[in-house]
Amino acid sequence: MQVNSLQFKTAAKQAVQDETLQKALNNLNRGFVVKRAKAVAQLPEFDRLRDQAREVKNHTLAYLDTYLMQYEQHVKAAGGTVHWAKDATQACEIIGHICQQHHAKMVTKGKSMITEEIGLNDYLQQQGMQVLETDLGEYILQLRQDHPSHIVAPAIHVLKEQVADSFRAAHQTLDAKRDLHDIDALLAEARATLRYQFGQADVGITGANFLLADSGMAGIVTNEGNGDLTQIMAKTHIVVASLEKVLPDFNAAALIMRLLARSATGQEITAYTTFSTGPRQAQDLDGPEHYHVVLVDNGRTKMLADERRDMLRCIRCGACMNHCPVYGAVGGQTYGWVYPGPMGAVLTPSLAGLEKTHLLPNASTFCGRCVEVCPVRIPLTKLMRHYREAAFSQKLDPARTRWALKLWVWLVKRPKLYHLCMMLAIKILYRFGKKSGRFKYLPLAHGWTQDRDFPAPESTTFQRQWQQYERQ
Amino acid sequence: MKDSRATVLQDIQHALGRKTPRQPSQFAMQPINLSRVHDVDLVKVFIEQAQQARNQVIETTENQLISTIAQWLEDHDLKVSINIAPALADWDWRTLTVQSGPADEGSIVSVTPALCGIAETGTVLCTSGPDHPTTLNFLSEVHMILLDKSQLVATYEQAWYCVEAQPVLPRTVNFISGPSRTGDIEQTLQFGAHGPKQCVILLYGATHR
Repeated sequence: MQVNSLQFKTAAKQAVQDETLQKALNNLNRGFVVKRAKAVAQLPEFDRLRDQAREVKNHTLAYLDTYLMQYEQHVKAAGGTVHWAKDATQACEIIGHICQQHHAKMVTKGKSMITEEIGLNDYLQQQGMQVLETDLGEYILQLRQDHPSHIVAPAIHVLKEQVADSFRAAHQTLDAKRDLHDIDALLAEARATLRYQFGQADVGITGANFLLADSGMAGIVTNEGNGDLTQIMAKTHIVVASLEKVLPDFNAAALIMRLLARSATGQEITAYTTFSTGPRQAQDLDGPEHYHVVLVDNGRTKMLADERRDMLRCIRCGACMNHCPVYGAVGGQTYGWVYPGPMGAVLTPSLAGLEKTHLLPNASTFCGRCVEVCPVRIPLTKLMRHYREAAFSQKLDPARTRWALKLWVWLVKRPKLYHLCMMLAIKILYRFGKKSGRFKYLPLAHGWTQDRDFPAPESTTFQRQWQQYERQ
Repeated sequence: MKDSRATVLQDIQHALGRKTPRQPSQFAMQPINLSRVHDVDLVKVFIEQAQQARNQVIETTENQLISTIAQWLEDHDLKVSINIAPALADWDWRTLTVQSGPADEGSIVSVTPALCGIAETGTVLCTSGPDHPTTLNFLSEVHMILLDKSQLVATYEQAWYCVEAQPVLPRTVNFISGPSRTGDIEQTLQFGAHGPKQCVILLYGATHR
């Protein structure tokens, strides 16, 4: 998927005006946030589990090569093939090649962010294959030629009327006069439409929430069951997973299972958590005949080398974006790529390069809610600051911003001079603002005053007031 | 593609500041006792959690399993052929029409045994195999799961021991916590997205205590 993160400011302005989007984002705050809090309250051990999860992930990353090789060995032993892709292009080529080998005409997909990241659907379609997203949210987006706006609830920005419109346009064989007013009718239609597609698929592609090194199993966490039907009904099952999904064993996965759903949607656990490896076994009555795993680097090894390694702990729960005031105001598509919100503000520069994405680490007030809720304790704001510093030293911010910052730093390093300037500014604002208590217009403050008034100071600077107070 | 494997592994090692793989240090994870399954009546906790996960739980006896199923089908006006796991093929299904084997897109009701039940979230664990093919867990509209109380464990980790104790590690291991669902349309919870719309757990037998 193309990186459009430099459009953030324009996109944000539009997003804030978009009534449909705002309505959808309001639902988000009442839903996931409240439900997560409730689920956390019902599990007294939650915080200790977070600490353990951080330790397990750190341990695994420190031995990433060993665990990946162990995982590979077990997949081979189970009759599967493991492929390694350095970048997105290679990953697509490998997957395309496997599909061609198996003469694939139709490919079903479970929900997978890594496949969005590498642009897999477009690639396979260009190779002449039909690609069908089976996760309901992704299916809706596919019909609308739209992109996910949230990593867990991808179609969160789409209203039910819009879903109905898309279904009418796409499902031409059905009675045009049918009533799609009810969401139950929409779900029933999606279920019926996709039901027979699973079995028709030549290839089924899923992502992986975990890769277990000691058994070669890949785990997926879903609610719909589409990921399961994708993998057991198609003739060939391909798992696409980035390197950092590997874990030592099931115990590590169990730990993360306890954190993932609770952090994401507030469920104790999703309806389905499935582990599988290899093709169907000799005596099995169902399951795929061929099994491939494509391990994708695409920038992770670079992150492993420095403080960005912390970001590799991410389990893709989406809690950070659910709690982020910026995401909550503008939604996921504003971020311009696959990963939105706080985790996107760190991961996107890491994977796509800072030049195209340097606005994203600035899309934050550093309120720290993301850090508070991250189940694996990623220091998101610290990592965003890392990128802000890098952007500054690489001169990616506009000259005006850099000069303003440099002036500020110069002043702040001279406290007496700084205070003098502040005193002057406050005195002037006080003099002119005394009458109404607010400013509708202020030089240099257009960004503020175009939407709201600027409050006038009521007396003098805090420091001066404090000095006066101390003298009393 | 051999090149990319070597490249990726080398890049990992370079990032970790070494030139060769290293055996992982012994990673001791102190097991955290979950209070909700510590020193409790596992059956009670399992039932509570399973109901919270939107399963219907029916307690019955081994002898009454088939009649309970028959009664449930009658109560729900389902006069259909039911898809049963081959493991249950030898049972006396009396008046019920059964088909043993994998499910297909037309399946309405499936009946499978579970390997074990997990009290911490009311989850049932089902594995693939010739006696209980995985499609029975996903293609029907109603999934009826037979669970022996003596097969109840407290945690996911304990359930995995049951999996590892099998003579051969199965291809697929399903942790199932209620019927299929989605909140993808306007964040409203709906059941029966692609998997079953209803899950009925028939809990029978006596616990090993």
